[in-house]
Amino acid sequence: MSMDLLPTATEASPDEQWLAALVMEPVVADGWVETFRALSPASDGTWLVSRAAMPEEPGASARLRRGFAMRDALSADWAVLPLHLVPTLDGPVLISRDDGGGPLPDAGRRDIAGFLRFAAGAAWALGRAHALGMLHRDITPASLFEGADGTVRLAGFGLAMRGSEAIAAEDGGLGDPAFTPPERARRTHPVSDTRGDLYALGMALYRVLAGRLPFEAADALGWIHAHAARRPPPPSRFRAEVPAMLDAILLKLIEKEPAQRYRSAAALERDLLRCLSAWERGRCIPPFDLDGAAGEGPVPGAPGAMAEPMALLPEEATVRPRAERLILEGRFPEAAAEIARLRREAADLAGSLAALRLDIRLRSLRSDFAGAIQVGAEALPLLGIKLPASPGTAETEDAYRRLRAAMGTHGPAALPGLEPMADPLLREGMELLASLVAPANFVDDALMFVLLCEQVRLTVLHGIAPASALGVAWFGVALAHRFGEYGRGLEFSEAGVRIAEAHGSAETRSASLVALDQVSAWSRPFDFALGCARAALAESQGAGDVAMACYACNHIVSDLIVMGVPLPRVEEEINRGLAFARGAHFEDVEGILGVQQAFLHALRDTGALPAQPPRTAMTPLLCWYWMFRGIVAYTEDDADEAERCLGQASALAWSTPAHVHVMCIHLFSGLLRAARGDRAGLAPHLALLRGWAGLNAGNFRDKALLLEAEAARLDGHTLRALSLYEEAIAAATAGDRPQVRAIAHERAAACYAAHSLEGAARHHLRGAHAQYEAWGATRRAAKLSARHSFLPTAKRAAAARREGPFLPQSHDGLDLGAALAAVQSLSGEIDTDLLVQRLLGQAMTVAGASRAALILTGGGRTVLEALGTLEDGPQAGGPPGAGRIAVHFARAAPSPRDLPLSVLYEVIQRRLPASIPDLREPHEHGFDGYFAIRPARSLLTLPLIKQGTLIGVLHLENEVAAHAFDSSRQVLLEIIASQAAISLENARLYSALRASEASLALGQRISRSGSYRWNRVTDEQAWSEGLYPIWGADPAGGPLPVAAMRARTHPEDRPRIDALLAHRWGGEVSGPHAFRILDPAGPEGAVRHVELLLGPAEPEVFVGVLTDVTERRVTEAALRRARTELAQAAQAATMGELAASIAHEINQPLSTIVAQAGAAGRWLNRPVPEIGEALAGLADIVRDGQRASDIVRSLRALARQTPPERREVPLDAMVRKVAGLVSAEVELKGAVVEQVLAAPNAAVLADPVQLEQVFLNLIFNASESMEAVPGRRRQVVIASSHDVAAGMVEVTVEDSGPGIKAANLARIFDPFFTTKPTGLGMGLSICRSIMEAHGGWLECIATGPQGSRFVVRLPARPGVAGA
Amino acid sequence: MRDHLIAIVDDDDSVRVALTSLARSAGLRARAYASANAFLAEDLSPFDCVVSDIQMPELSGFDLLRAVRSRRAELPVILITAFPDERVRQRAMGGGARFFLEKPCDPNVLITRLTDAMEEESGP
Repeated sequence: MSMDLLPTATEASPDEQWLAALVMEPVVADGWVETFRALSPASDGTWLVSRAAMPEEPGASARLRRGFAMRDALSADWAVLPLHLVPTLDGPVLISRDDGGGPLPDAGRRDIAGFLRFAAGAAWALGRAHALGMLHRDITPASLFEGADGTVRLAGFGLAMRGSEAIAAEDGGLGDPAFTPPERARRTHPVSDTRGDLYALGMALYRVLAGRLPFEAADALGWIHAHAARRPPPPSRFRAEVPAMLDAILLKLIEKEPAQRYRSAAALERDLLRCLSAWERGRCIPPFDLDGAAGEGPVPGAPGAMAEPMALLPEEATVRPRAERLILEGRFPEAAAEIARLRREAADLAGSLAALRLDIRLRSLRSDFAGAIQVGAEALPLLGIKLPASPGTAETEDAYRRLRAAMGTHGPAALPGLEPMADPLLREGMELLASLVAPANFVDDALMFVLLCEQVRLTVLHGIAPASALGVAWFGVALAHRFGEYGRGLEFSEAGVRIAEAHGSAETRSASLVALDQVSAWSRPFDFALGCARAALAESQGAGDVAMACYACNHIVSDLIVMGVPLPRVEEEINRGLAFARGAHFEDVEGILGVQQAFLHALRDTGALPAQPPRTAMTPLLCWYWMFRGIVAYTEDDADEAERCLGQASALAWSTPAHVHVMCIHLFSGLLRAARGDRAGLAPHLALLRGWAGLNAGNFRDKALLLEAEAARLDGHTLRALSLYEEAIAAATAGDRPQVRAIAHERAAACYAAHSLEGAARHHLRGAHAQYEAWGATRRAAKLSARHSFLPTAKRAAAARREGPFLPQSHDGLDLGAALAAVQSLSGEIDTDLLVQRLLGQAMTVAGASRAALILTGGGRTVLEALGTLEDGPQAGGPPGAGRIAVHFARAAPSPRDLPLSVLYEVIQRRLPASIPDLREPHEHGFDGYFAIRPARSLLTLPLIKQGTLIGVLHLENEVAAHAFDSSRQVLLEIIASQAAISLENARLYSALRASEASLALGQRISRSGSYRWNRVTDEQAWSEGLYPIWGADPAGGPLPVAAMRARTHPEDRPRIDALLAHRWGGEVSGPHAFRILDPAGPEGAVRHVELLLGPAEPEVFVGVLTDVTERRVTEAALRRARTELAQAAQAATMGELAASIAHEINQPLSTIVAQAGAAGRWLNRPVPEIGEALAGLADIVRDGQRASDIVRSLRALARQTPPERREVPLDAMVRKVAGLVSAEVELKGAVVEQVLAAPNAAVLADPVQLEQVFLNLIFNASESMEAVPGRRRQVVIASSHDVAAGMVEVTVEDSGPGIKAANLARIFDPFFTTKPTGLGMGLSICRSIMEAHGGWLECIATGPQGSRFVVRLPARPGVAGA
Repeated sequence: MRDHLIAIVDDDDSVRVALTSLARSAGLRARAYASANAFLAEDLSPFDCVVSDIQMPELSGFDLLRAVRSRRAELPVILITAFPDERVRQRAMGGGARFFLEKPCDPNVLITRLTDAMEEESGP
C-alpha cells in the first residue's frame, strides 16, 4: 500500500490538480498543521498530506517549508519522510511517505509491555535524529507515528534545527506549550538542546502512559508557569499499575533542570529495553540505577559512543541560581534565607550587588516596598551613586536640571542612537536603579522621579545599558506627572520603547510599552494607548513573563474603562487577566484587577465593592479602590460617601503618575462639587479638564464640556449650560463613550426639569437610560426606570428583546446591508426551488416577518408556490433565540387558510402594495375569514412586477408586532421584490431551458448575453443569437458591421471602445469593459448598459461575450438612492420627533388659555355673572401665558445648533469628487454631468461631508427634473468660480429640465415640500440650512422657459490666493 | 342636559382645571381625573361623556378608549391631543372615538361636541 516514489510514471507531477483528485482521510492535526492519509484513485497509492490548519497562517506555511527542507537529513527508518512540497493557492502542501499507522489513536490504553515497546521505539528514533546532529524541538504525541509494522517514526520537522543553526522566532516560534521544556520558554536566553527534546518526549510518553499530562493549564502562560514551577506527580498517581521504575524514568525525563535529565536518548532507550525484558519475564521491574550513572551528574556533550555532537548549552542552562528558582517557585522564606547566605558569602563586589538585587526583587514581590528601598540605599553608594533619602521639590528640580544639562541640545529622540554602556559596574548600577523604580512608585513619587532622572542621566553620559530602556520610558511618565510636560514625556517614553526594541529583552519591551500606554493617553487617541498595552501583553505572554502580562492586562482594563467600552466586554478582559494573576500568585495585580472587577459588578448590579480597602502596601491599588468607590457613590446619588471616597483617592493620586485615572478622579470630583452647588470647588477640576482637552480634544473634550456645562448652570447661565450639555453629548457620541453621554444626558435632563421643560427632560432621560444600558451600567439604568415610569424597565426591555426578531428595526446600515445581500444572492440563483427558498428566507429576515407566502401568477393561473413560516429552534448560524425559517412548497391554488385572499386579489388587480399596519384596529379587510383563524398583527403584500408584467405576489405577516412593516422597510422590500421578479422570471425560463434541452441561445437570452467572433483584418463576424436583441439588430440581416455598432455606442464611450479594439492584445482575457449602447427600443436618449469580455482566439481573431447589465444597474442605483433617502428619512424622523415634542410643550399652556378664556366668557355671560370664577380663570390665563413664553425662550436657545466641524476643503477637488460619484447614476437617467471648474486655488472652511451632501442633492434633483423631458439634450452643468475681491466662491448647478413653476419657486426650500412623487421633500430644506450654517447661502434662479439654476455661495477661506 | 355628568382626564394640572371650569361654565357637571387609571377605577355608569387627553404616562387615551369600549361601549369618548398628527387622528377615529380634537381647541367647539355626543347618545 505504500509508495516509495511519487508520482508514479502514470501520473502527472504532483500539482494542485493532482491533489484535488486525492481521496483524503484525516490522520492527525495540531494547532498549526493537519495531516491526511490520501489515496490516489489513479494509482491506488497512499501518501500523507499535510497542510496548514488555517490557510492564512504564515507560521504553519513556514513549518511545512522547513519540514520539507529537512528531508535530506532524514531517513525513512526513523522519520516520516517528506517527498514533495506542492505550492497551492492556500499555501504549501507537504506530501510525505506513508508507512501505514499514525500517532497512537487513544492515549492510556496500551498495556505496560506495549507501552515500553512504543517508548523504546520513540527513544530510538529520537536517538537517530540526535546522532545526525538534529534537534526536533516539537515532540508531542502527534509527532510519534507508529507504523503498521510497529516501527516508531518521528514526524513534523517544522521547528527542527540542524547543527548549530538558529531558527528565527518568526519561523514558527515555540511548539505546543504543553510539551515545551522550561528552558526554552524562558524570556532571557532561551535554550534548545537534546535534553529539551527528551523533556518533550517525557511529557508525550507520560500522556501515552497515564492518559493525561502531569499538569493542567488553561493557556500558554499557564503551561509556562507549570513547566517552570510545578512538581509533576508520578504517572502511577493516574494509573496504579505503573511500576515504580517506570515512574522514575518518566520523572527523570521531565526534570526541571536539564542537567538532571537523561544524558541521551540512547541511554533512555537502554533503560526502557531493560524494563521491558524484566517485565516480560516476571511482570515486575526490579530497581536499577537509571541512566547508567545515577548520582554522578551526567555530562552533556561528553565524548563517547553515543555522544551527541551538539553543544548548544550556554552556562545559564546548567547553573540557575537557586535563589532565583526559589523566587520563581514562590518559596519566599527559603529564598530569603538563600539570599541572606549569598550576601554573607559574596566574594566580590559583583557578587554582593547581584545578591542585593535579588533581595530587592524578593522584597518587591512580597510588597515590602520600603524594605526594598532601604536595601537599595545600602547598595547604591557601593557604586558611587548618591541619592537623597526623601527628596523634596528642590531635590527633584535639581535632578531634572542636572539631566537637562547632561542632554544639552539633544532631545529624547537622540537617546536610542547612543552607544552601548561599556562599564560593567555602571551597568550593574543601572540594574539596581531600575529594580528600585517600582517600589519607589508605591512609596514616594519624588524619589521615583529622582531615580529615573539619574538613570536617564547615566544613559546620556555613558551609553545604553540593558536597563536604560525602562528608565527612559518611565522617566517620560514621571515627567508628565511631575511637571505636566505631557508632550515631552511622550517623547521620552517613545524613545524608551525604541531603545527596548533595539537593545532590550521582551521583558523591557513590554515594560516600556506599558509606560508608553500610561503617558500617551494625554496626547494621543485612547486607541493608541490601548494598542501599547495590548502590544505589552503580547510581548510579555510571548516571553512567559507572567507578572508583566498581569500589569499589561491591568492597563488594558483601565484604558477600556475610560474608553467606555461596554462593561461585559471589559469584564471578559479582567477575567483573562485574573486567570494569569492567580496562576502566578501575583497578589497585587490580582488585587487591582479584583477592584476593577468589583467596580464593574457594582455598576452592573451583580455585586459591590468591598466595604474595606484592600490590605496592601501598593498605593495605586488603594487610590483606585477609593476612586471606584467614589464613582459608584456618585452614580448612587450618595454625595457624602462620594466626597469621602474621592477625597481619599485624591490624597493618593501621586502614586499613579500621569495615569489616565487621575483624570477620572478630577472629573467626578468636579461633578460632585457641581452637584453640591459648590462653584468655587468645581473651578480647579474644571481648569485641569480644560487644560487636558486643550492638549487632546479627542480624548477629553467631552468631559471638559460636561464640567463647563455644570459651571454655566451654577453661574445661572441656563441656556448656555443646556447648549454645552448638547455639545458634550455630541463630543461623547463622536468618541463613542456611552458613559460620558449618559451622565451628560442625565445632567441635561435635570437642568431642563428644573425649568419645567418636561418634554425635553424626558427626551434626555431616555437618552441617559439608553446610554447607561449601552455601557452596561444596568444598576443606574434600573434606578432611572424606577424613578421615571416612562422609561423601559429591565422586564419590558427583556420582553422587547424576546420579540426582537419580529420587531421592525430602525433604518440603519444593517437593513440596507441585508437588502443588498438579499439582492445579490437572489440575482445569482437560477434554480427555482432554491430561489424560492432564498427569496422567502431573505424577505422574512429583512422584513422581520413571521409568515410569508409566494404566489406566482404566470400563464393566467394563480398558484401558491410556497409558504414560509417561523419554527421553534435556532437557525443554523443565526442568533440564539431566533426561530428557524422553514419553507414548504405548496404549488396549489391558494386557499382561504393560507393567506387573506381579499388582500391578494386586491394586490393582483391594482398592482400596488397593500399594507395593514395594525390588524387589531378596524380595517377594510376585516371581513376576510382568514383573520379569524390566523393571529396576524400586521401585514404587507407586494406585487412582483417585471417590465410591466405581474409575475407574482409576495405576502408577509407579523404575528406579534403592529407596524412591523414601516415605510423604510417597505422600500427595502420593494427593491428585493423587484429583483425577485427578475430572478423568478429567469429561473422560470431556465427551467424551461432544462426541460426542452434547448441550445445555448436560450441560455444567453436569459443571461442577456451574446457571444461573437471577429476577425480584425477581414472584419468578418459571427454572432450568437443572443447578441441581436442587445444591439437591436434583426437576426435576418446578419451581424452589424463594426461601423454600425460604433454608431450605436454612446458617443462618450466611443473613444474608449475604439482604443480597446485597436489594442494589440497578448494572450490574456480582458474585461469586463462597461459601456453604453443607445437603446433603439427605448425613448430617445435611453441607453442600455453592457459589459464586454474579450480575448484573442488566433492572430487578429477575437472572441468575446457581451452581457446586458441594464437591469442590474437599475437595481443597484435604486438601492443607492434608497440609502440616501433613508438617511434623510432618519434625519426627518428625528426632526419630526422634536417638532412633536415642541408642539406638545406649547399646546398645553395654549390649551389652558383658550379653555379658560372660553369659560371666563361664559361665566360673565350668565344672567348673574360669576365674577369670582371668571377672575380665577383669568389668573390661570396669565400664569399659562407666562409658561408658554418661558418655553419658547428655552426652545430658541436650544435651536442654536452645535457648530459643525470645519476643515479646509479645496473647492474644485470636492466638485470633481461629487461629479465622479454621481455620474453613473445620472447617466442612468439619460443625462450627463459637465464640469466647468474655474476656482482651482479656492478653498472653503466647511464640513466636507455636509458640503458633499448639498452638491449630491442638487445634481440628483437636476438630473431627475429632466427625466420627463423628451428630445432635448439632458445636461447638468456644475460650475465653480472664485470672486477674489469679494472673498466668495460660487458653485452653480444648472439643468435643462422644465424649470420650476413661479408659484413653487418660493416654496421649494420649505421642509416637506416636494414635486416628486416619491420624494420626502427634505432635501433642499436641509441643503439650505447646511449652507446657512456655513455662513453661505443657497438660492434658485429660474433660467428662462427651460431649466433652473441653483447657486451656492460660500465665503472663501481667507489667505488663499485667487485663481 | 343640566344633569349630564362628564369625566375630564388629563395629566396636566392646569389643562384639567381649565377644562373643568369650561364645562361647569356651560352648566355641565364635571369630574376631573389626572390619569386614565384613576378614571377607570370608577364605576362608569353615571357618566354621559368622557373627554380625555391622548398623551399621558402609563395608560394613554387610546388605552382608555379601548377599556371604555369593552366596558360600556355606548359611552361617548372625545379624545384631545397636543400632537397635531394625522396618524393620531386616524387611530383615534378608527378606535371608535366620538370626536377627535386638537389642543388648543375652540371652547365653543368643545362644548358643542360635548352636547352633540350626549344628544346622539340619548336620542331616539
